[in-house]
Amino acid sequence: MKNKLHLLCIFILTISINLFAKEEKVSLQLQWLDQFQFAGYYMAKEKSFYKDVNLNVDIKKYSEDIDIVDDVVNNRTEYGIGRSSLIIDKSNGKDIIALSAIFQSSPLIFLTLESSNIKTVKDFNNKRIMITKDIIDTASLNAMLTSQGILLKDTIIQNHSFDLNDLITKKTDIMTSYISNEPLRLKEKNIKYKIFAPSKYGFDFYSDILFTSSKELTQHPKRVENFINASIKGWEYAFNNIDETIDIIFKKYNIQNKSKEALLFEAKTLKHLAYYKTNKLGNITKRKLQRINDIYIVMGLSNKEIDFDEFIYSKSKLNLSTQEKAFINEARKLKVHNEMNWAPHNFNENGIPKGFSIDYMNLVAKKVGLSIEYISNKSWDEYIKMLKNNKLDIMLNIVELANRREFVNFTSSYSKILPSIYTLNNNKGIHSLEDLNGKTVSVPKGFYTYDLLKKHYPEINVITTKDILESLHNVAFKRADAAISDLGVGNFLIQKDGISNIGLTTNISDKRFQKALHIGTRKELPILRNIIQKGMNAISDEELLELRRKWFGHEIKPIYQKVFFTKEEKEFIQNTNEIRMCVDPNWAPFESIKNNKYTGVIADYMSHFSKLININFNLVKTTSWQQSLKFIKNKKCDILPAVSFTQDKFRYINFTKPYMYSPFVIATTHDKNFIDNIDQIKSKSIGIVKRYSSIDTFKNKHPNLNIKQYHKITQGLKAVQKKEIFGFIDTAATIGYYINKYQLNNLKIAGKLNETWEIGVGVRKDYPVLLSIMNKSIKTLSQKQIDKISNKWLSIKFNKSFDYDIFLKVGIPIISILVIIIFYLWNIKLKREIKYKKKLEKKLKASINDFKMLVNSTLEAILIFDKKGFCIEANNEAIELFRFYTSNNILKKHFLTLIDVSSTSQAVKELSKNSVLPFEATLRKNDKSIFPGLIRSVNSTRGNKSIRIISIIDLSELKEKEGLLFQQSKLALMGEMMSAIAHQWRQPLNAIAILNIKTETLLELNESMTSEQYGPISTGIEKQLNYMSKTIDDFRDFFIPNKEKIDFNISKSIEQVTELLSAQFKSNNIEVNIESEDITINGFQNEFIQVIINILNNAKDALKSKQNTPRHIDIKVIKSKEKNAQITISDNGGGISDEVIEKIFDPYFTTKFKSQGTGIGLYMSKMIIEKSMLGDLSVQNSKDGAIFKILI
Amino acid sequence: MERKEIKNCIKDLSVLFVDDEEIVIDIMQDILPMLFKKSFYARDGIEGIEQFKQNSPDIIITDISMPNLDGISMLKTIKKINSNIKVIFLSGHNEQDQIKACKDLNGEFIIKPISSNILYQALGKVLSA
Repeated sequence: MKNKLHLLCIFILTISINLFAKEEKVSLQLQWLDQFQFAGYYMAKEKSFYKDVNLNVDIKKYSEDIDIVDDVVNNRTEYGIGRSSLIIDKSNGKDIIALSAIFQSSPLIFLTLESSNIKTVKDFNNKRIMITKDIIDTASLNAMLTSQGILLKDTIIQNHSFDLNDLITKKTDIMTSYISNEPLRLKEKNIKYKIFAPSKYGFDFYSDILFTSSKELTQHPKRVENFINASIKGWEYAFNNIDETIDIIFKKYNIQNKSKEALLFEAKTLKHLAYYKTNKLGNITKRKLQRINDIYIVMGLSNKEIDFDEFIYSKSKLNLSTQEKAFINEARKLKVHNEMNWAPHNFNENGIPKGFSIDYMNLVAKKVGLSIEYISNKSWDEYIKMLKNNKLDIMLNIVELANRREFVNFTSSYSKILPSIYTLNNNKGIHSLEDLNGKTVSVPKGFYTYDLLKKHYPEINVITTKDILESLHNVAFKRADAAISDLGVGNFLIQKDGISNIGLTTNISDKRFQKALHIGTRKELPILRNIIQKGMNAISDEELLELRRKWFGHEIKPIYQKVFFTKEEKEFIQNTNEIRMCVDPNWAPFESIKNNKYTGVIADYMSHFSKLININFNLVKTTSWQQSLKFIKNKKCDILPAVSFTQDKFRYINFTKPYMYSPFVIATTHDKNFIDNIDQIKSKSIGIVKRYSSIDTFKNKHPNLNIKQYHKITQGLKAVQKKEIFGFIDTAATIGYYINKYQLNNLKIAGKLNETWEIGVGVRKDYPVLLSIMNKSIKTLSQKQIDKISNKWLSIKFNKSFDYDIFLKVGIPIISILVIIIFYLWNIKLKREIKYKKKLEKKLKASINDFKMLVNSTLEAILIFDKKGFCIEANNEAIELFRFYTSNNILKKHFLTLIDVSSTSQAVKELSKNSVLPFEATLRKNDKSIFPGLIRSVNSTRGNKSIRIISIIDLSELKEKEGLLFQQSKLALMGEMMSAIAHQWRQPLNAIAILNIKTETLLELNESMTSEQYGPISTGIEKQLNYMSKTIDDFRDFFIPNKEKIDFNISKSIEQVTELLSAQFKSNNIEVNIESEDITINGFQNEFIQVIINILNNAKDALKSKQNTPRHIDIKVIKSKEKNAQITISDNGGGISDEVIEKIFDPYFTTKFKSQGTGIGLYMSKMIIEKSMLGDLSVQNSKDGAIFKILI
Repeated sequence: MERKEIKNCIKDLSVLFVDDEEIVIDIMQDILPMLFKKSFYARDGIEGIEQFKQNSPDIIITDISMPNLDGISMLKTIKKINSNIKVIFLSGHNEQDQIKACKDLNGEFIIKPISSNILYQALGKVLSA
């Protein structure tokens, strides 16, 4: 009893947790009228996904006058849905966070009729287009047009009427539309149409980005996470249950009165867009946003770079505990170790801590919000001591050793080291540590290498130093034979410090030396280790990769931002007033002379250098590149700002390191194939501009190339057009520029070559000092500055307004780069398609086998019969089920031989209906045994013969289970009966017991008893015994199933039940109220009573766990319109939780444990009411509790 | 204590019997006067408190689950008047929570149906406590 109560308490408690957990109200603003576009959110609400995470989401309808971004930023709504243009809002300083991108590609497309004969985007020329004026929202369409060499001004722009009839009646040629809506309407009208989708041209703009304010994220990170997860769950549900979702939208969210067909079309199209090139719903990537922004920049819609890390919601949760948060809030600045010379991991330059570990630590600190300060200028050993004495909090790049664990808490590792041996360059014969036996090795004091050498290589003499640099110096100055250092550190220091006489001999293969680097915190502060670990966990692979690239990558970025000039260089700078430049006057967009001014990307680089060294760079005007070359030869100018290396030019100029790179592409006519390897074209003739150094490059690398030189790029391209040469090679930007400028429409960029054109500065040969100055200046350029220059340069041009003229002149080259990317992607796509088709063929072959396997692997018996009913094929299951052992035995058997005589007529009748609904029948096996089965028949044709496919499921097991179920339900009823009887008997038993005490007492007093004294006792006992036996009879009667239907009075039956259970109600303080009309029905009374008992017992159990409130059960019996009577049984037991309510009529479903309920009661009740009494039993919750309703 | 001793002991004492079952009160009204000097009866906790205030019995025998005010709550109030009151609880349910509550009130706990042996045992315990 106690147990039962306890468990019920738990059950009710879980319900009440759901009820009483604080629900948070948030709102979501839709960006358009209700339709499938927002299905995920509706379903998240309808399916309680929001409720499950305690969110009460108000889905705000769209109205014309809203500004969603503004509303979100100003907290009028917590969440909003926006387009890719949110990027622009972000760049304009709106503090928003992109949470999830539902549609990976914009549904916005161009729609034309097939009859209008527009086959490619190029055909848009001079056509009428209905497009909205919002250039931000139509940016992807614009980009697609421009990439195909069509500008909006080449078309006739019409105001958008939003009336599809205008397209049908040819009032316009092209209309911007939604792929999810309009095409269906044309399809319904049987009008053939064509779609131009930007995604097909590589412009995948996100559509429907779920976003919030950064304030919301900071204040309610958990809520944001819950909201995203629940929304995505909603979307997954919506896409996986399209029919159900459509029904709900149709009923509840259909302000537009869409038809179910329209919703279905929308659903299917949007599902495609949601999973376009991703299988992660809601996927949002930095790269894609970056690309969208790049396009915005090119279109002049945006002019800023955006920190996308800040813009994209990061799932990398810190999950800091309250204690940890408190620690972070209260912590003083934590002391972190910064070594002098352990570059590139951890070093100090001019007082500034630098290195991979330092950057990593800074990132961790930023993530968790710890403030740190670096302690520099100590040796490794000193740091270790400080950590022991609590004078240091954090050690970076520390190897985990057993003895260190006594005073260090280690995080997980964040980097590996590659220990290597460094010796003098001429020192040969050292291949491993063993070779150092008897020799002297220098390592820093306290380093793990020291411990390991001492332990495992006792024959090596070890001398210790304060750091690695000193160890290397020891080798250089022959104080030691070798030093052991991490490969990265050693190489870095040797290069930086110019210790040219020593070098890497070998890396150490002894696994004990190959360690990983950890962060160590001081022992007494375990919480700090946990916080840092959480910060480390939050570092994304992307971030880590970026740090690695920065410090260990191929291009180690210059660490020296300041330029240190030699005395000689300084003198040159002081004595020089100007540097004269000769440039290519006609080489936009790189450099050109316009209105007597030098302009272009390179011009900006030059002005950057000019500022850096504080000398004016003055232009010496020339009319051609050839003239510029002549000028520098004749020392009429000092530098060529943009030139690439050739042996020929090297005679009169020196080259700096390159500072700009541009890929080479090849242009061909349209009929040529795409080229992804230059060797494909080796025998063909290729054009190149004469002055370009590219000739050398190609000649050297591909001596077989048949190269023709042209003076001008236009000549070369014309030669391609005339098919005098196969193709023409130049940089991507230049070729794109000329193709567009001269409308060379029959040319295409057929491929990107592996060669990259490197541009550096050319300096006249007799100015070596200037060369080194320029080299040092170039070295100062960081990638950031390079980006800044090109971005600034581009955006200035587009900033003011969308000037198509400028766009044509300047934007086209950039667009051409996009074109290349698209072609490149196309190429990849083509290859993929071929692959795909091959795959398909394979698949087709496989699928025939698969099909056979599938048919044989199913649990159903599948048989195919010919028109006359003879079996022509059967799967393994069928052969086995009917006990035929081989397929030959079953073939030619007639269908009716498989049916038991008792079912023959029924089967014939069912089969003649030609319905696909399954029916039950008794089937006969080959060994004459019979079994119940479920048969489903489908008519079909094979070749041109009609066949009948019959699938059969063996129901014997199921039937057995059903029988078992009924047996169990009987047991359950018995249990309930016992319990009711026990309650009912408690009172009379007690009365009898007391009567017994009375007898005893009387006898003890008087030693005998008169019949006068015993009379009332006897009567009392008899009365109680009668009551007890009546109880048993009543129960027994009710639990014997009625064989026949009888007329019985509902209210009387219910009164009988409540009487039976009265003791139980009383002992639980439950008040039962009956309000009943006098209704008599015909049916199985006892079964009905069992149902009532069952429901009342459930109510009682729910009420028992409710404390301190009056408990009551109200039973109402009224006449029903649909049936004879409606009985409602309601309690105030708190109701049934949402999760459970749908399942309570399922067999074996129970909220109680095995010992208490079988989970069969309500299932049986439903069976009784619905199957044998043809009524209806349902349940719902009221505000107080559950209401069971019986219609009978 | 032997039954005889107990009987000797209680014949000078007064008892209050509280139970909501009419039949039980009926029978008890025949039994208790034979054993105790004085006996009083009540049908729920509230009446029980009234009776206690009026008659200050030496021993209380009370049912636990009763309408209006249950036996345990009743005794908590009575304890404020007489903290040494001796009490025997009767209950139809063997529930640990109830047993613990009874022990906390220094009462004895008997499960219905009651037998004379157990009743005397309980009386013996409360008397010698």
